[in-house]
Formats: sequence, C-alpha cells, structure tokens
Amino acid sequence: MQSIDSVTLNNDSMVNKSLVQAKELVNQLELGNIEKADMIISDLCKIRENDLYQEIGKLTRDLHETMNDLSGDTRLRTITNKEMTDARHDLDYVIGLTEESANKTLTAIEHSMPLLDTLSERAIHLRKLLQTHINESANNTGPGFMAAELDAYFDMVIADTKSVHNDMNTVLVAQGYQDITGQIIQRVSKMVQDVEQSLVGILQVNSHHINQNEQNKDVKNSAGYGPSVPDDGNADVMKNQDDVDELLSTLGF
Amino acid sequence: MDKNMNILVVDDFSTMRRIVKNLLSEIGFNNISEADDGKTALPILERGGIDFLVTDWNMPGMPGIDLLKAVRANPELASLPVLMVTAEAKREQIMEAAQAGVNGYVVKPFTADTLKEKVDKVFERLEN
Repeated sequence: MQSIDSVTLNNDSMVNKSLVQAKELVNQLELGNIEKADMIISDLCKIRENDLYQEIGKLTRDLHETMNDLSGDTRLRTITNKEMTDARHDLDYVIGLTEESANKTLTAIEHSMPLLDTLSERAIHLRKLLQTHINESANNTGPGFMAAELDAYFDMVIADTKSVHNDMNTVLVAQGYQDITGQIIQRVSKMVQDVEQSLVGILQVNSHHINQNEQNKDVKNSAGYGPSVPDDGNADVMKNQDDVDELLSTLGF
Repeated sequence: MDKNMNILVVDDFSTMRRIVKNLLSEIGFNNISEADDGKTALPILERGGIDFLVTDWNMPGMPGIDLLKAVRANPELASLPVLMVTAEAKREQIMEAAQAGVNGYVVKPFTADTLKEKVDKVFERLEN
C-alpha cells in the first residue's frame, strides 16, 4: 500500500509537471505559436488517457482470469453438466410419482363411492320396509325378531355412509395438491433449466460476456404465474377464496 | 339449472380434471367432456353443444385467460358461462379475468362446497 507521504509526493510532482506544461501553454499562446500550443494540449490529454487505458487493461485481465478460473472449475462443470440435469429429472420424477399416487387415490375413490351410495340406498329402502312392518305388527303380534336392533343398524348405516361419503369427497379434493405442487415444481424446474443454460453459456464462451439469457422478470406473463407459495410476502396475491370473493364483489360480482 | 347440460372441463393436470369431474357429478352433472389446454378446448367449443366451460388459467399452449377472451370474441360462444378454477391469485389477474367477462372465479386449493357454491352462483346470476 502507498504511504500518504508518497501519494502527496506523487501528487506534488504531477502538479509541478502540469504547472510547467500549463505555463508553457500560456507562453506559446501569447507568442501566437498555435501548433506548439496544440501539442502541449494533446500531451496533457494523453496523460489522462494512459491512466484510463491502464485501468481498463487491468479490469479486462481480471475478468479474463475469472472466466478462465470458472471454466477450469471442475466442480462448476459437474454441477452444470450433470447435477442440474439430474435435479430437473428428480423434479420430473416427483411430479410423476405424485401424479401416479393421486390417480390411484382417485381411482379408489371413484370405485368406492358408488358402492357406498348403493349401501346407503339399500339401507334407506330396508329401513322403510322395516318401519312399515313395525307399524303394521304393532297392532297385533308386536314387532318381529330383532326389529328394533335392525332399525338402529339401518340408522347407523345411513348416517355412517353419509359421513364416509363426505370424507371421501375431502380426500378427492385433497388430491388437488398434485396440481398445485406440480405447477410449483415445474416452475422451479424451469428456473433450474434457465440457470443451467446461462452457466453452459459462460463455460463455453469464457472470453465473451454473455447476457442473452437475462430476462425481465417484471414482464407480464399471460401464460400465468402458477400457484403462489404461502408467505411469499406478495400483497398483490389473494390468500384464499374469501379474498378473491371480496375483490370480485368490488368489481360487481 | 339444467343437470343435463354439457360441461367442458379444461386443465392440463389430469388429476385436477378428474377431481372437478367427480365434484360436478356429485352436484348432479354427468355430461362432462375434458380438454388439456385452450388449444384443444377451442375446437370442441366451436363444434357447439357445450353449455358451460370450467377452465384452469396456467396451461401450456393456450392459457385459460386467452381461451376466455377467444370465447367472448366469438359471436357463437360469447354468452357461454365460464368458471375459472385456478391457482392464479394475483389481484391484476382476477381483475383481468373479470374484465374479460368471466362468470366466476375459484382459486385453488378449493373445497367441494366452494366449487358447488360458485357453480350455483354462476347460474343464479344468469337466471336473474
């Protein structure tokens, strides 16, 4: 590091040199010697230009070395050539697995629902028959064998099948997670792909500055933005259906 | 509300199409067709016979908002009721859909009751 004294000394000598040139410039101008004066002016400019070129040269060398280091970095190469691609395959695999699992669940629900509904309908029908029987036999011999127990059983079947039916519907709607998570994973996967392409670009063209993959993130996206992630702090994103309804009601809905 | 009406459900995720289809059949609708984005949905709509469109927003090819605009721009389809069922929840998007003439907007994840309520509301408003 330069000491303050040497900087002062340096400045002093530069000031002296400039002062000499300035005096000479005035002198030559007073003598009407335009050519000489021009030469002094261009000498003065050259000093500044040389400093500037030296700085640019240093920056260029630094940048070039950094680029070379980057392209020689085997870890970065592995990440770019293999791990990023693997990461995207992993994410695709997660989408595939959740889709398969959600579809199995939906198939099971679609299979069970009609069975459940038939059970319920049969129970309602039998309870009606049983109640007619109970009413008719009350006048003479009294209700038949286990009539009260059967009546209670049908009541239970009717109530429970209804409850299971509602639970099944909850399970059905809950499979929507596959759509939501799938869209979020697709979005992350796309981002990984963009980063991957940028890195490949840097590694391939290490002496050229590349910026072609840069995208304006604020550009309006008519394809949609995908699901919002809770607590991402975006006040412009509706948190739930109530928020959406409130906004729509201000729009006359 | 005619329970025999023909409904087209548009979503790129087959699981979501199945869910919506099951919920609609729970309400009593059984004539349901499917499409996986706006591009495949539009020809089906143009062939005629669809009475109600339920569509997602974020889909490859042709997003739901563009499908909605195409429907409103087509004199044959302009009055078709459209319910959007989507994870898109930005204020500007909901306003854009409203301005484009959507009849209802359900944000994912939703419940069976919400979907039913919004479907009912779409037809209630149309009948009044």
